[in-house]
Amino acid sequence: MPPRKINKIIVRASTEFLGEVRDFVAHHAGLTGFDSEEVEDIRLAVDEAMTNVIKHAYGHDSSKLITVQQGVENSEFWVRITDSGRSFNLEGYVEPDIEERIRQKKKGGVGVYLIRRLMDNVEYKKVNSRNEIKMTKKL
Amino acid sequence: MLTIDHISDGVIRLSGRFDAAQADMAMKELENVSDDTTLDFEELAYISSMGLGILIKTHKQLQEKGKVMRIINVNKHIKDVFRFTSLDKIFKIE
Repeated sequence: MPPRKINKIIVRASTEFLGEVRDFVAHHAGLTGFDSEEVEDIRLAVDEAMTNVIKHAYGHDSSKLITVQQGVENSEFWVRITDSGRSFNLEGYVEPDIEERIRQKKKGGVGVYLIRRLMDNVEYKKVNSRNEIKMTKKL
Repeated sequence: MLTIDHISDGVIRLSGRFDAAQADMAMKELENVSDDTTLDFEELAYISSMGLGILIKTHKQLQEKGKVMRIINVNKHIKDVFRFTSLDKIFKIE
C-alpha cells in the first residue's frame, strides 16, 4: 500500500497568513471532491481554528509558528493544526448557548461553536508539549 | 482581502473575505455609521466569527439609536453561517 500523502504548511502566527492557509486547505479539499459549499465550510473551520491559535495560544505573537497538515484517511478529510502556545482547556469548555449570546449581542465564543458545527469531528489534544486540534469531515 | 465602499447614502458594499485580518479596518469603517444602513453582501464571499462580531456591534450601535441595519444579497454559505449562529433571527436580512 503506498504511503498516505500528508500535505503541510508552516506559517507565522499572524492573521496576515489566514488567507494562505485557508486557500491551501481549500485547494486540497476541492481536489478530494467536496462541493463548493463543503469547501467553504472547511475553509471557515480552518480560519476559526487558526484565529484561536493566533489570538489565544500565542497572544498575537507573530514570531511563533503554526503547522497545518492535511490528509485523507478512512474516507475522512482531516486537518491538523499544531502550536506550542497556551493550551486550550477542552475540559473547561462549555458549549455556549449560542442563541443567548447572540440575543445579548455578545461578541466572542462563536469560533469553537462554528468549528464543531461545520466539521464532523473535532479533537483537541496535547502531543509532546504541543497543542493539536484535528478536524475531520467525511467524504 | 476585504473592501468596504460607501456607494450611496446609507448603502455600504462589502467585497471579498471578511476575516480576522480585516477586523480592525472594518471596525473603523463601520463604527461611525449612525443612520439606517444597508450592507450589500453581493460581492462578499465569506465571513468568519470576527466579522460576525463586528456586524453584531454595528447592529447594536444602530439599534441603540433607533436605527436599522439591513443586509442584502447574502450568498448561501453566509446565510448558513447566520442560521448556525441564529443571527438570522437578529439581523434584518433581505
